[in-house]
Amino acid sequence: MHEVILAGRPNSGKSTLFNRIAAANQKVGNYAGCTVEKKTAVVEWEEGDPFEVTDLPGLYSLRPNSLDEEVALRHLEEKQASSYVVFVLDGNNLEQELVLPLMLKRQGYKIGIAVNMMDEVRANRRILDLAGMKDIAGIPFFPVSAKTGEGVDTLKKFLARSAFPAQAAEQGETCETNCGCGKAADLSGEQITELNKAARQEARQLNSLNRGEKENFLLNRDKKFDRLLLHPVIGPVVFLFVMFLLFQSIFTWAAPLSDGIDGGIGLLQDLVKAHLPTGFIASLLGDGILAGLGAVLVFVPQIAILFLLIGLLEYSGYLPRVAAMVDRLLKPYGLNGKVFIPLLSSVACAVPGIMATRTIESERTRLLTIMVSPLMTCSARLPVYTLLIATFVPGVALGPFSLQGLVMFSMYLLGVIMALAVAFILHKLDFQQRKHVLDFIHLPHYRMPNWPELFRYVWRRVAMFLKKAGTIIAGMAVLLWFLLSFPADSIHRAEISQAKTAVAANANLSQADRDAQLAELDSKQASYDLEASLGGRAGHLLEPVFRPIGYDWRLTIGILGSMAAREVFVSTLGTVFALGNADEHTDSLGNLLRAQKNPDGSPQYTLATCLSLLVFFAFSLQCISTIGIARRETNSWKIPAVMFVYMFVIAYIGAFIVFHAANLFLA
Amino acid sequence: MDLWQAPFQEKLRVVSLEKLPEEERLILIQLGVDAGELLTKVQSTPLQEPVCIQIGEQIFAFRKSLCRGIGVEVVCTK
Repeated sequence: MHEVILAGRPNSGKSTLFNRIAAANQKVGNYAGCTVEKKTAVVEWEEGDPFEVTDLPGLYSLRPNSLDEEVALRHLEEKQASSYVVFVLDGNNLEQELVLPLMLKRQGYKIGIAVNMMDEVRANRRILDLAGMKDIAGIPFFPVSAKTGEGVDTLKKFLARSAFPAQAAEQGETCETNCGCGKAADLSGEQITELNKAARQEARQLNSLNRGEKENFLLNRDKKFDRLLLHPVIGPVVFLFVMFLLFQSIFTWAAPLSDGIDGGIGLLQDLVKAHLPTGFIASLLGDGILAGLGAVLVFVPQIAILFLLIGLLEYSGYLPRVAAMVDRLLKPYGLNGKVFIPLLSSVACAVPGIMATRTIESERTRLLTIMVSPLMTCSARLPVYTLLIATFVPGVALGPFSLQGLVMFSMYLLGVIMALAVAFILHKLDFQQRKHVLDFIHLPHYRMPNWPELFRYVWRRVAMFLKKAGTIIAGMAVLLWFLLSFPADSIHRAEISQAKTAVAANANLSQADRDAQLAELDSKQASYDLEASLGGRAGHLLEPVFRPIGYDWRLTIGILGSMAAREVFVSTLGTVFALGNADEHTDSLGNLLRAQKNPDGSPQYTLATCLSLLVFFAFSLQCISTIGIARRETNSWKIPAVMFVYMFVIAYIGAFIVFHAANLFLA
Repeated sequence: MDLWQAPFQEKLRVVSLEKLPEEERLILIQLGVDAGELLTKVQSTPLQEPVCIQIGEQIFAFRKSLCRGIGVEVVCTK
């Protein structure tokens, strides 16, 4: 089957045109060996041959400046002999954008030009002489508007009927004798310079045929908006307001939906427990599979809302302006402005934050961002921070502020500082040796979003998360359930069972007292089961590793349990201390922690333990969901493994320093 | 003068790209920043960097280090 390749600069409307041509037949995958998205579709037309159309990543030049451009060029080179390349150009910027297709025409490619945004060309009162340009250039020009659908059928008809047999007649002499026909990667700098000069001259000649207004009203409108939105005072105010809305939306809108999903999973788990006999199957289904499923689905609202908002910012043209505004702040750390949204999103949750790094063209910067995103204080850390701060930090006022509030705020600041510090170190170590050299940001026109395309974009991101990362996350959740559930305790089971029988048979107890005592015995059994499990035994085994930072075997089990998700630390501790559902009894858990004593009567857990735990949780990668999504986005286990190790090392060293310093100065 | 020193809102002609590494120069010339080509320094951003540069009918944000490598001359005053 013939292949039609849609190429062009970013923001030329390629993807919108692709969606028009492909309709519902799109398939989204990856280019071989990398995470760059590949969109293809098979298109059938009434009286022509079906063809496959591929939407290439955006391309500015024959020298790739990003992984996306590298992949685009490689695909063009591999398919040169068998494909027809349709360059999608902004009809208002023809002279600039014609240069690259004319360079490729000289390299022997079969080229057609889709002059896009014809509605905006007319709004600018310009008249394009496409027939004249076709006569001179020897390649066909198609007026289209991907937004309205204008001209798309004509283009499809041509591609189905005429593109491949007709290409010899259309193209004529396509290869200059001194052009050095061959792969773009093989062209020397001098050859590219000559090719560019010749193509630019030709583009100028073609554009001179066009008439109408010289003024670009859309561009003038953009400049007016930019005078406001990039103003030294108004710009940051608008920016902070938009970021506040983004942040709040993720927390405020997503939270009830996530809670709803959590509640739904909880209901299903209760149903399983109610209808299946207690045992392996009920536990596997309820605490393993359903819990694993819940661990995945609970992220869907956050991801959907985040990408809806990012998509809105991107399609409207404002997101690149945000990147430009914060670029200077991030430059010293080897980052650029485009990392801001992923890092901000990671404050809600690193999973969508890491997914949002797809907007970063530089692969090196993208990997750097993925590696530091989990250091941003995410919402999953909040239950842990709340428990520890409320239990061990005195509730005193420091002027207008509370000490507990200040400690909480410091944890957020600590995450940001460490993320920037790690980025700086990796940058100085020349992590992922810099291949792509030019950092610039294209500021596209401000536009109203194309809603069908926006929703398609959100759906693709959610589907990708469910299909790829979801399987990893759910699988690891089931594995962790297994490690914390088996083998069950056998030593105390008979004794607890007898005690329960006695309580049940005690006629002197009220129903409420009976239920409370039975619940307490169940909690004790759960605590013994946890201690006897592989995870519990690992807690005892690993206690010497964590003792230097102030954790006994119970806190160590809590750490191991929280490897699935940080917030599980609270409920795992609840089980270890036989408190039942600790999430509902955080105050009680706090009291229990404070009440624990060493053999000499001194408190077992102190402010030093609290600070050590806070620092440990601030820096360590305790989230299989984040590991899963990092694996998905980097296409290997190496980066997530490096992330886990370096974050554990920082967490351990930080906790060690804080624990001993606190014992020295605050005891 | 270089692009960083050039005034805003004036039509500028690119004079040289010699200070830039060849890889950067090759990308820039294909972007439309080549000797003899025209561009306009439109405005700054809140932190003074990057700056907005109009090339053809599109706007790009260039960092200071990149602007320093592009030699320009003013074509005409408003």
